[in-house]
Amino acid sequence: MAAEREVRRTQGHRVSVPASTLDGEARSASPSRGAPVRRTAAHASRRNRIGLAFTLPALIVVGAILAYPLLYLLYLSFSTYRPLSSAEISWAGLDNYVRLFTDSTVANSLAVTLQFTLASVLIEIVLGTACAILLANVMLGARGRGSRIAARLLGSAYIIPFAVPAVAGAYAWRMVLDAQFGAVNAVLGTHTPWLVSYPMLSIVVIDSWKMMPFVLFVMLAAVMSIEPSQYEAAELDGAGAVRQLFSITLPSVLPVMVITAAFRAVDAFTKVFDTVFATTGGGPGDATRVFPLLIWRTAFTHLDFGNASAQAIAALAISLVFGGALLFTQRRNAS
Amino acid sequence: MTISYAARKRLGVNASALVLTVVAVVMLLPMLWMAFTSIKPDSGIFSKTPLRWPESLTFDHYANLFTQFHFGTSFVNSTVIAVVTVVVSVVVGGLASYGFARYPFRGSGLALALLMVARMVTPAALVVPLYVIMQTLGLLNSVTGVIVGVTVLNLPFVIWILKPFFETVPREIEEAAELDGLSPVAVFFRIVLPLARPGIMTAVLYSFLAGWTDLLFPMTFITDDEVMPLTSSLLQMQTGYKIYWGELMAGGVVLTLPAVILCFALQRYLLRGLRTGY
Repeated sequence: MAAEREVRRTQGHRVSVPASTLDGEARSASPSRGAPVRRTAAHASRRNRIGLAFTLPALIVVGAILAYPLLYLLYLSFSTYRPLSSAEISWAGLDNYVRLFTDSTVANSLAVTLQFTLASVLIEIVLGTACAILLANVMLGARGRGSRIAARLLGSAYIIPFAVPAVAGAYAWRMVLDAQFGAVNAVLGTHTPWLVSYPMLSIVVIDSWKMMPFVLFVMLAAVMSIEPSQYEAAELDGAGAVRQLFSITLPSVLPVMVITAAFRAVDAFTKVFDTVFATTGGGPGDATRVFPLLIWRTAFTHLDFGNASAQAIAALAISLVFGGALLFTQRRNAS
Repeated sequence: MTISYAARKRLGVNASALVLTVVAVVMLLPMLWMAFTSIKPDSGIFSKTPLRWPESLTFDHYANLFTQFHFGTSFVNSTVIAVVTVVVSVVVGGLASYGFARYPFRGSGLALALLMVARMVTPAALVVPLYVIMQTLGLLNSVTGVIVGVTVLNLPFVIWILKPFFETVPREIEEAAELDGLSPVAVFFRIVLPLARPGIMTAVLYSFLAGWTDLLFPMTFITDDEVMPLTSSLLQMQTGYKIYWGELMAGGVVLTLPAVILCFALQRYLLRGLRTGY
């Protein structure tokens, strides 16, 4: 997707080539769309049926387990369902939606999620891009077998935070940040309860720690694909390292940076859960009750499914609008 | 004083390497702290000088995981969830992805776009209706419910990640095989799958991680110790009265190691997935 490139073929057909074919595993992209395959109506409808048959299992699964529950969610959002007081699901009209706008926890949660998203994506993009540029520098500058292996190992180390399951990472950070027995306080000689005193900062740092490597590796591919001849020409013109960074490197990777930031933002907004649940738990008070956590708490702590469903619908609407806009702009840029 | 160009360049590379090493070490510290804490005796964990190397190291916390916190069954449950997620996602998703890549049909563009949108569904929004449905079906407290939730959120990702790989398989090979009398399904399993192996490995890795690391579905659906995977078992070490820090850290290590080892072993595919899938 982001890295998929459209290549114009001589026959005038568009063939998309995945990044994999560009990083050393070149395979012949099929030119046979122009080959003499008979294009009769019967042939076309047969291909149509085959295509449908291949995709049918997936469409059934997604339809049954995603589309149906989401429709059911819509129904629940117009209902009152509190399993603790009554097992009955009764019609509530727009009550749950009215509460979306009158309940201050909803507005607060949206604000918290927005802060979290902006801060963590900003840190991830800045640090990730900086590290990617440094790593590309090291990898391209490595001479000899030994230093090349060292450069690879250095890059591999950054995989770890990304590979660590979010819950495990969250608990590791909790121990690191613990007021009495944590490493950070031991080094500083303080007893700061970080998760209580600086809850938002804490979850932003933890999320950035986990997702910065993702940005790093995406940006690394972008930096490495810049033509070396551009730098050689700049050097002949006497441009220094700083000048090269701002005139060649950053402008070249800017489009990838923007797309990556947008995808990260949608992801951060919709999927942040484990990290917050296992560290601050949304607190203190509701200082870090991000939106997915609010939905979950409303449903499974307060056992108010109707209200939770309306919140969930709101979350879906938000991600649909942002995600849709993102896809639309990306598609328009690609064509 | 002037420094030669080559020397300046050398200096730049070394400085970059130094900065990156420092950042990498800092980023590894939380997990190292977790591992270190897990092998400290309780007196070393709850000490005024937690940085100091304890007098003795112990694997008691790891032993407790299996005697007090049913980690043996949890490990099996996590494995079952991850493996079934992999099989279902890759078979069903692979077939669909191939259909989309090779046999575009009327409405397939729309279906693909909808699958893309499905990737942006908030898992916490899906878990609410799915909980009520699973309750009606009697599938709460079973790994099936968790597998269903994880797989449906993973499937769109697998379809998108595999599509470019199927598109690069030369069409002539498939056409030749079809002329030889192989059915499209046979072509897919016998010819295309082996050729798209890098893509399949990428899908396998990400599907495994999705199943192995998921917390939301098990913590919502499962209350029975015997069916819990590792992720939600970890939450049990934090009770209202006490947090079993030693066991929690040991459990975190047990949960983390398989994921990290797998990511290192399949590093190429991990990085490729980052570039094509997101």
